[in-house]
Amino acid sequence: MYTYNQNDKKLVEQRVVQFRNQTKRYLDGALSDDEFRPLRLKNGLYIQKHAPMLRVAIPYGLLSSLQLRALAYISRTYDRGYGHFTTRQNIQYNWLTLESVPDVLDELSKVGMHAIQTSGNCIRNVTSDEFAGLAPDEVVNPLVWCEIIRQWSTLHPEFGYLPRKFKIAVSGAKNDRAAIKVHDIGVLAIKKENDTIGFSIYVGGGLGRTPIIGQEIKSFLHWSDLLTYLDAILRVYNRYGRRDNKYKSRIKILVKAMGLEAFKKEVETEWDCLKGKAGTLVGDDITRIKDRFSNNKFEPLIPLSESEIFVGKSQEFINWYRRNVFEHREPGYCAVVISLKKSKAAPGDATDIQMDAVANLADEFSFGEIRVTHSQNLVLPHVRADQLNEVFGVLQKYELATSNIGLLTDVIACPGGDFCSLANAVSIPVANAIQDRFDSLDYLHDIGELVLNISGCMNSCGHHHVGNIGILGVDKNGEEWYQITIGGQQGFGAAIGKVIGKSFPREEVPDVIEKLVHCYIRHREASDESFAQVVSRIGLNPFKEEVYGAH
Amino acid sequence: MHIKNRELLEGEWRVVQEENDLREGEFVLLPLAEWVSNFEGSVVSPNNVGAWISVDFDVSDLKTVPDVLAIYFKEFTDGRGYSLARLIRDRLNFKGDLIAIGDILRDQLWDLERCGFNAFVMRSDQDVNEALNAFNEFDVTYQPVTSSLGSINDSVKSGA
Ligand code: SF4
Repeated sequence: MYTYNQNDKKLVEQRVVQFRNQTKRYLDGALSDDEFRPLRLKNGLYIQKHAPMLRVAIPYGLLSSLQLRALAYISRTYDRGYGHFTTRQNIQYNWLTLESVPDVLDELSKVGMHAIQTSGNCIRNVTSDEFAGLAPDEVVNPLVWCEIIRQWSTLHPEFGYLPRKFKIAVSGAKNDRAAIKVHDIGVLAIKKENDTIGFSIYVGGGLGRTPIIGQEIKSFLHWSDLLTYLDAILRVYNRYGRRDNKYKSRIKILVKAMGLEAFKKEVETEWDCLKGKAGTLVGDDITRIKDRFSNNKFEPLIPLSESEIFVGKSQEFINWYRRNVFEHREPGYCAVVISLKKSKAAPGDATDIQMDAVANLADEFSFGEIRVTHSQNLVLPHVRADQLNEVFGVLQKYELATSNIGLLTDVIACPGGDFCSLANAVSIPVANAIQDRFDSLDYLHDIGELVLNISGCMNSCGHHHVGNIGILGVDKNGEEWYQITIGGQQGFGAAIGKVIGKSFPREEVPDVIEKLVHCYIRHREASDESFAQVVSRIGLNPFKEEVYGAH
Repeated sequence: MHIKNRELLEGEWRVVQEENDLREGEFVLLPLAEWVSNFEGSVVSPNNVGAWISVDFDVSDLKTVPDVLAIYFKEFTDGRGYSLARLIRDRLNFKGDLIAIGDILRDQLWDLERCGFNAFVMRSDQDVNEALNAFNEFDVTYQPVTSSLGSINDSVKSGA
């Protein structure tokens, strides 16, 4: 955990005072709707279908038990007893009143949290690998760099009115769990042969209407130059990004229009003037921030083998272990993923009671730390292998022990038409219908890893483009229809899925998914050949035939 | 009324189209091209006549810089003016008065100042007295600031 120092604290408190004042001036009529809109958006406040929605930042997905309890308290006191975790590792409240928002922000600031830049045309909350700092495949721990980027981007004076929103993701591992290639900027922390830390920088990735995979603009950027280089990219975007059409205003469109080489040249020219100047990082900056991250005292443990862990345990526990428990770099420790994807609940929703339960578990078993994943689940990052069964028992009690991480029912879905005014169609009921169809755990486990993502409209908040199966809500003469894509992938091999054909009415979606799955099972050559691998081997046609019949 | 160096001053900088619009003793801003054709190369330019440019101006086109330069924001949400101000201060080392004009509202003043503006002609419906509070809402920043002296100062660094 990163613990705020006096300045960090003060900044957040002063932002609350500022926003309280802005809200008051709005309610008094001194600020018009158009003038207040960018101000509230920059503080995470949307006006939605039913009530204002407040999106609270969980920088790089890291939460303390204290913070999670505060989130539970807020949902109980100001909302309807639950919160929605998003694909950008944030949490959203859907049922607040505008008048109560400053008080909610006050509550948040007491535990070092805020809603700064979780929305609006500015640099958004930075996201990262949910296993940062503990993954065995990690090369550089990205957390310190995430915090440096968080501070740099917070109330950045120059980039508060960008052409459009701007998202940065940071990873430091051999497998990309932060989806850095579908972000406006992706930062990959690496090491040179001589152990010097630096970054590969990717630019111009993104989903939305025009999904594009980011391209490498810098193969090795020395760590001290991180912020001046980011400033240079942002400045080029701020000056030249399109402002006349909001569908063409993301940096990916600019990079595409200019071409990577020309864009890079502009960035380098800008950087020439910034490099080595103020904003250049020095060793002290890094140490100062590193020192504020908690230093968990891992006990020296003898690692347990699977069979030792399984002795005397239920089959349920074993299933759960196989799906939801992940390797930790410390011997004898594991990372436990808590599924927020049980059937009949909106993917990513947690009740206040569940949040409190997870906070308690974190205190008892995981150094008081929790992570939020981009697939809308929670993580207890540092659990002793010999205490897993106890943790499992508690999770079961709170309906948090669904063993489906990475499986078909671990659906990523945006809030969709039930909440979002931009939606063409609902997403949560579709997710639930699919979860119900695949309710046999044995079958699910047999299908294996399959990422299924649902977005209620082209804005793609549910990341449907990079789902192995993607479902997109489309509007057909005022009716809700769904377009299906397959072949999308996340990670370093990121790929955009392809549309299989004409779209379907809502009630047919589970059938279509079932047919796609049958087709996969028939064609797979080994039980561990994944859905994504089969699609890339045999192509779309067999799937199309299965779904639409041979024509 | 306008704001300069966080103080309220009498008088207005009036945006005019042509040099012959000038009235004795008045403070005016001419379009840059107009200013250039009248004052470029003159040993002393009158200090009550400045030039204005829009937010999409290309700094490399700025050959001679007047002592008073204004950037015109058609809409307050157009952030290009912030980067332009920084370029003028940091790259061209401009030390004169940099004025934000146009759709200038209270809640943008502090960011504008941190990007190098030291003077503001606010939109006519704004409460300029109250607007001065905008400069005192934060004691802490994470980023280096472009000051009106044309140099970047280090901000209060986190943990310091
Ligand atoms: S994808 Fe569309 S419907 Fe879903 S949350 Fe985003 S904007 Fe709303």
